[in-house]
Amino acid sequence: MHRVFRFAAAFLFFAAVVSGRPALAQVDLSGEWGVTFFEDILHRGATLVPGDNTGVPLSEAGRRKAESWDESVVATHERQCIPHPVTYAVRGPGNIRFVKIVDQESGRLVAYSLQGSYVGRFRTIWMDGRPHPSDFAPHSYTGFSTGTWIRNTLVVTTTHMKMGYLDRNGMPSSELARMTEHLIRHDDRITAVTFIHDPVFLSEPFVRSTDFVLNLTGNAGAWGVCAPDQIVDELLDKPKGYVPHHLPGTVDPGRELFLTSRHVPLEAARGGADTTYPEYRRRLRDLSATTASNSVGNPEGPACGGNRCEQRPPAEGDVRVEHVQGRVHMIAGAGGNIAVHVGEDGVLLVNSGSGKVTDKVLAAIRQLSDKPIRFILNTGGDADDIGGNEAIAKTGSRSGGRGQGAGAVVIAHDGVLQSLIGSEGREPSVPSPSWPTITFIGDLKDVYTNGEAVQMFHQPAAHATGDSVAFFRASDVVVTGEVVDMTRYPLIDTAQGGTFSGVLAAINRLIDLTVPKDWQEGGTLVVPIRGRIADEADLVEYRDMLTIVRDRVEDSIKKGMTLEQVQAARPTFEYDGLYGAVSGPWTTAMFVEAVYRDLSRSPSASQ
Amino acid sequence: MTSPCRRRIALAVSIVCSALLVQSRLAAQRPSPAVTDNPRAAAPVDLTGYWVSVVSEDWLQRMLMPPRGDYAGVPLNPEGRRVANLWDPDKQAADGCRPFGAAAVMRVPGRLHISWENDDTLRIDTDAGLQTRLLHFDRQPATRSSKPAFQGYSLASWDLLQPRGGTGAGLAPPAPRVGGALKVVTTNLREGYLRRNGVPYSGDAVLTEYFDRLTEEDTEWLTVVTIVNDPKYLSQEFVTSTHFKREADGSKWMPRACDDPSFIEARSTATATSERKPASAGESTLIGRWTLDLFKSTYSTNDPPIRRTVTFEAAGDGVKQTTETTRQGFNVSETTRVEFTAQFDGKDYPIPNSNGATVALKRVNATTIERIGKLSGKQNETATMRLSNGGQTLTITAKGTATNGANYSRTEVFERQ
Repeated sequence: MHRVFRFAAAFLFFAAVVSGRPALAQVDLSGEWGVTFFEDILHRGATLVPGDNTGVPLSEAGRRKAESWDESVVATHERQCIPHPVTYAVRGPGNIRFVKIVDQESGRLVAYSLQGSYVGRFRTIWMDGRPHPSDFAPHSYTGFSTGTWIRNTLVVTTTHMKMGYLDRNGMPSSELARMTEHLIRHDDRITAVTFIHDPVFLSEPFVRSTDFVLNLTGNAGAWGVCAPDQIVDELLDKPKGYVPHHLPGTVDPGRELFLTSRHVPLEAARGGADTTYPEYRRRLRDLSATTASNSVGNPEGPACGGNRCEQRPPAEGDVRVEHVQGRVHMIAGAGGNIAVHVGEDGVLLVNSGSGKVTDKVLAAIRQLSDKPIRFILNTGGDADDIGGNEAIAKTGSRSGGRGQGAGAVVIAHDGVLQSLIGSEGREPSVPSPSWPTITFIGDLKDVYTNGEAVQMFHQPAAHATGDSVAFFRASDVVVTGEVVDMTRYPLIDTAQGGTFSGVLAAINRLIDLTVPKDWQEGGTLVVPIRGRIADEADLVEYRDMLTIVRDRVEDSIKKGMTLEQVQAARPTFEYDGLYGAVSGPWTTAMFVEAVYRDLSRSPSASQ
Repeated sequence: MTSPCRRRIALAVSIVCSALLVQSRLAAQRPSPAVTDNPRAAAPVDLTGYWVSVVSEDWLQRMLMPPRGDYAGVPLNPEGRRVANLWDPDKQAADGCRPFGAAAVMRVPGRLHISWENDDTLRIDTDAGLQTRLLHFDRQPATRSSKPAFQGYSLASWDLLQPRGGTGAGLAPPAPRVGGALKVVTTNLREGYLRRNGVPYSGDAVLTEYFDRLTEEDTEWLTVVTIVNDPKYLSQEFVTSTHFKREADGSKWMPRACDDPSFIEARSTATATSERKPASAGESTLIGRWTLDLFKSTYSTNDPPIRRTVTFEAAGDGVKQTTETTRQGFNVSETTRVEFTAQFDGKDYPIPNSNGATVALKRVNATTIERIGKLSGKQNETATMRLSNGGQTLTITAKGTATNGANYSRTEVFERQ
C-alpha cells in the first residue's frame, strides 16, 4: 500500500511539473475602445470629396474606377444597405469593442468578436487555427478573418471581402484584395495598422493606422440592421438598371473645387504609389495645379488594367464541392459550375460540366447523395455546360409522373436544342445523345422535386438564344448559366443569337429574383457559370460594370468612333484586372466587339 | 477518515504544491527578453537601419504646405487656434526648425537612420531637416540637458507588458513578459509646430512615443505612435501614427537642413499656379462661380473656412449671390449656404432666413462693387468686391462687427471657375 502511495505521489509530482504550462504569452484586446479621431481627418471627416485620392497607392485601374464613381450611386436600391466594408470600417468615428469568445470546456480563446464602427455585422476573428474558406465560398463586407499573436501584436488576415472601397469617395478595393491588420497594444492603447493588398486597384500595399484608447465608461456603437424593408425609392425618374457614373472626360465638380482650393496638382490628387514617398515632393515643385479632365483616349497601364491578367477558373479536373445553401451544392472544376440539388426523391443537376472529368463529377455527386440522378437542367448549350449530359444521364433514372425508365431527364429551352441541331446542311455541334430530352418554348418550365419547386426562366437573346436561369425556391438559390461569370466578361455567342443587351436584361432580372437578407448580403445565393458563389450585391457589381461599359461604348458610338477606336480606348480598362483576358477563347477585345456591334444596331437597354 | 489517510492526503497536497513551486522556479529561470542591464543587448527588436516614410495619411498637410488655419484634426484649444492663425505664410523662412521638433519630425516626409550611439543611447537622424534625436535609456540621469531644445530630452525604455496578479486557477506559472516596442517619453522641448503652417505646441508639451517593428510579407515596417500632451495649446492629447518602410542602405538619403529653401517651395509653387492661369479678356463681370484661394486669403478671426465658393447669377439688373462655406471643427465639418438677390442701386435687400439681415450693392466702377450689410437696420459690415487679373480674380475685403460685438476683418481672394 505504501509503495502504491509513493508511486502515486511521484506521479502527481511529475504530472504537476510537466502539465503546468505557463500562461500563454499574449496580451489581450477585449474591452471597449474609443477611437482617436485626429489623423487623416480630411479623408475621414465630412470634407472628403471625390477626386481626393491623395496618399493612396492606386493603380491606374484604381484611379479610373475612382474617377468614374458618382456619389449618387449610393442612392440606388441595391446599394442603400451596403455597410462600410472592412477595408474602411475602422476609419470612421465609431468606437469599437473586442469580445473574447472562449471554449467553455478548455477555456481556450476561440475567437474575438469585433463590434461597432459602422460595419454591418460583427466581425469574427478566428483564433483557433481554422483555415480560410475555399476560393468558391461567398464573400462578405466583413470578410473572413483569422488571427495570430506576434509579441504584443495580434496579426489578423482577412480574405473573402466583397468589392468595397478604401474611402467614402469611391476609391475602390476589389474582391481579390487581402488585408492584414497588426493590432498593437501599448498600455491602454491599441494601434491598428492596416495593410491592404489589392492586385487590381493598388500598385503597392496601402498602409494606414487607427488609434484607440481603452474606454472604461464608453460603449461601442454604430451597428444595427439594414434590411430590404428599410430601402426607399430615391431615383424615381431613372430607368430600370440605372447606374450613376461619370463618363471618361467628365469630372466630378467636387474634384475641381478640391484641386483649386487646395492647389493640388491633378497628378498628385489621383494618387499612386510614387506620390507617397518623400521624393515626390521634388516632383510637386515641377507640377502645376491643373484641372484638366481625366481622359481614357490613350490609356496607359498594364494590359489587363490592374496587375492581374490571368483568368481565375480552377484547373479542369480540380473538382471541388461547395455547399451553397439548403439542398443545393456546387461542383467546380469540371468546366462550367454544376449545381447539385439533393433530397429524398433523388438528384437534380443544373448543367453537367464539360464532360472531360465526368468520373470525378459523379464521385463528387455520390459524396452528396446515393439517390439516383433524376434531372439535368441545361441553362444553355455550350460544351462547358452540357458536355457531361450523356454520361451522367445514363447513370440516372426517371420515375414518378414522368414514367419509369433508365436515364435522367434532360430539360432545356428549345433554343438550346435548335442550336445543337444546327442549321440545315450543317453538322450538329454536339452528338444527339447529349441533347435535351425535354424542351420548352415559353418563358417558364417548372419542376418539383425533393419537396422543392424549381423554376427555369427563359432569358431571350442573352448569351445565346436558349438561355435559362434556374431558381430553387425553397433553398433560395439561383443558377445563372453563362450570363454571369465571376471570372470573366460574359460570353456573348452572337452566332447563336446572343446579344449584350440581352445579357444585361437577364442580369437585371436576376437582381429582381434575388433578395438579400440584410446589409445587402446573403439571402438568395447565386451560382454563376464560373467562379465563386455570389449574392445580389455581387450581381449588382457585375451589372454596374456592364452598364458602365455599355454607356461608354454607346457614347463612343455617338461620337462616330469605329470599333478599332473603341477597342483602343479600352472602355473596360479598370475592370480588366477582374474579368479581362488577352488570350484564350473569350478575350476582352472580343467582348468589346460584341458590345459595340450590339449597340451599333440597336438602342441601349436603358432606352 | 483515519489519521493515516489524512496524513496521506496532506502529503499529496504538499507534493503538488512543492511541484508547482519547483516549476515556478524553473519558469523563473527561463530566459526573459530583458534580463540584462544593457539596453542594447536587451533589445527585443532591432530598430536600426534606414527607414523611409510612406505618406499615406494626412498627405495634404504633409506633402504640400497647408494653408493658414488648416488645423483640421488637431485638438487645439482657443489659445492654440489663436496662435495658429497668427502664422504668416510669407515669413516661413523665419520659422527655422520649428516644424522639425520632436513632436512633429516623424511626420515630415523623409528618411530615418536609426543606430546605437552607445549601449545606452539610441540615435535617430533625419535627412529632412537634419535633426538628431538621442533616446536615452537613462542609466545616467545626470546627463539630462536643462536647456530646452527642438528634440528635447528623450527617455527610452523597452515596452514589455508585465503579468499582474496571481497565477490563476490553473496554478500555471506566470506568463513571460511580452512586447517588443520601444517607448520614449520626451520633455524639455523648445516650442515648435505640429504642422508646418504654424499649428503650435509649447515648451510644456510632453511627448510619448511607441516604436514598433512589423513584418508584412517580405517587407519590414516601422510604426511610430506619437502622443502629444500640451496643456498650453491642446484641449486633449493629440495622437498620430506614422509608417516607415525599411530600406537596404542609405543610398537614398537626401540631407536637407531645416532652413533649406526647398521646404517652402511647395507653397510657392502652388501660389504661382493660379497666377499663371491665363486671363481671358473681357470677363470683367461677377457672373460665374468663384472658389476661395485659402493661401491668399487672410482673416482676423480664428475660424477661417476650409472651403468657400461664391456664385453670382444675373437677376434682372442685379445679381443673385450664393455663398457656400465649409468650416472644419475638431472632428466634424459644417457647410452653410447663404443666398440673396439684390440690385446695384444701394437699396437694402433682405437676406432670407437671416433674422433680419439685409444687403445693399452699389457699383463703384467697372471692376469694383461696394456691399453694405445691415442687421436689424444697423450697419454691421462694409465690403468691397474688386475684379482683377482680367476678370479671373475676385478680391472681397470686408470689415465688420460680429453678433457678439467683436470686430473682424478679412481679405478673401477667389479664382474664377
